[in-house]
Amino acid sequence: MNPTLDATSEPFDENSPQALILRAHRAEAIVDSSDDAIISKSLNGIITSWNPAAERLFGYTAAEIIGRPISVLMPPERHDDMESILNRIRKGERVDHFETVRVSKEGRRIAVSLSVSPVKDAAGQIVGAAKIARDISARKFAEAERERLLLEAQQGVRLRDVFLSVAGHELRTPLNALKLQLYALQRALAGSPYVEKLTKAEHEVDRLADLTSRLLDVARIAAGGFTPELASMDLVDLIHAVVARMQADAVMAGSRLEVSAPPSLVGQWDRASLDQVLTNLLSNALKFGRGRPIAVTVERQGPSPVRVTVRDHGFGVEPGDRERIFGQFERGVSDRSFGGLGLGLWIAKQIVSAHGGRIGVSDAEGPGAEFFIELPTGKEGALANPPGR
Amino acid sequence: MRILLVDDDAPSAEALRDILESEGHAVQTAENGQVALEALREADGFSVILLDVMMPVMNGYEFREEQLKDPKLASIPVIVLTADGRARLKAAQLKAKHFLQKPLSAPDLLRVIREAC
Repeated sequence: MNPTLDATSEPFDENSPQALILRAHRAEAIVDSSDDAIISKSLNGIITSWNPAAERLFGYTAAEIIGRPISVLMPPERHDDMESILNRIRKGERVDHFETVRVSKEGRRIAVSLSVSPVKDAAGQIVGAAKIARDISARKFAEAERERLLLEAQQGVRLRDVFLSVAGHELRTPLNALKLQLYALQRALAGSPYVEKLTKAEHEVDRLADLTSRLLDVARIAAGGFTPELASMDLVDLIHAVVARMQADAVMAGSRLEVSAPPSLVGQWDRASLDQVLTNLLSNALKFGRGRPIAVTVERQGPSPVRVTVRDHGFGVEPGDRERIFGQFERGVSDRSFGGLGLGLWIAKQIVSAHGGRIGVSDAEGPGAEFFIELPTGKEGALANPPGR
Repeated sequence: MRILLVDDDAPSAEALRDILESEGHAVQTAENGQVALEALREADGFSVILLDVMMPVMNGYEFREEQLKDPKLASIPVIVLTADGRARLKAAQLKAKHFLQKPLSAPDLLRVIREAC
């Protein structure tokens, strides 16, 4: 009767000749069906067995390779590998998951992971080594590819930053010359009717500079490049500075700007970007506020985030538009009536989100809109002084 | 007041020079950091340096490094004038307390010059 691989036919006496033959056949079947190359070699490195997976991996048939030295699989720079592996085997040690390179019959280099164990005879003497070689070319390729993509992404980010910096410089430099020349002309022509026109021209330069900044910000933020530069700063101080800077616009819009805030509120924020958020919210309030008063309120209760609200009494925002207006190129009203790129609130949202905060439109009683931002204060965030009453 | 204006953009430098001179300041211009260092080493008495950042030959960073190494020049206040959108960051990198973003507002610049000196 031929031995079978059926486990149910396990003989009782495991040392019987039949059992030994069965075990040998089972081991052979496992070796033959393995996806990994399984090779045995003598202690002086001569190949003594070679399974089908070894044939697939290295291209040699068993008949071609058995009896030849294992070094035929090694690239010249790896010949030292053999001696060090065999030395360890002679001492009875195993070599596990040793990553190296081997060469196929066609000369193709293959990344492999080797596990090598000593083979002992019946007397327990080490007589050779059994080696399992796993093809890790795909993993090595994926690792190299990941490394390459990471490097490419890092270079992309660096290039983008350089580009935006250079673009900003190139666009603002002529605007700088133009603005200064216009100012110099205004001084030289003091008292002339042209001064008013020159003032208007200077105002247009400011608008162009503002648009340039916004477009560059959009490019930076859209590329995922906005990381707030956090530093200890006073939010109330910033709000007063922004409101003071916008007084002239408020006068032109006919709106009064009112601030209600504690004397000081210090946190870890990026001042320049929050300046932009507040400027955007106030510009909108002036634009859509119908010349009515605008209230800026700053509140903080306990450890909760700081909440800044900008309340106008103008057109308001329909409940159905409250999410949409924070999208790119979105606007609350028709572009036929009001200009703008439709990016201010989108930029504001990216900046506030990058601070770990929230921005939105609250339900406010009466006409008009109430925009809010909520900002965590960061590690050092604290009320420098209690709210003034 | 004696002012050293370091900027490679000639139209900007010319306009700024006119404005500052009309305010009664003496202005010397330099088109890069190298020329600025030479001007500073040739003559004493500069009260403030108006410094652009991106310039050929010697940029604002390299100039600042040289200036801070030279004990005779290190204490002259610097106002960074930058066309980069991150003026505050640039100023911090340049170890300068004062900065303005281009395009410059002349009244703001005059105020900052008064504060810096």
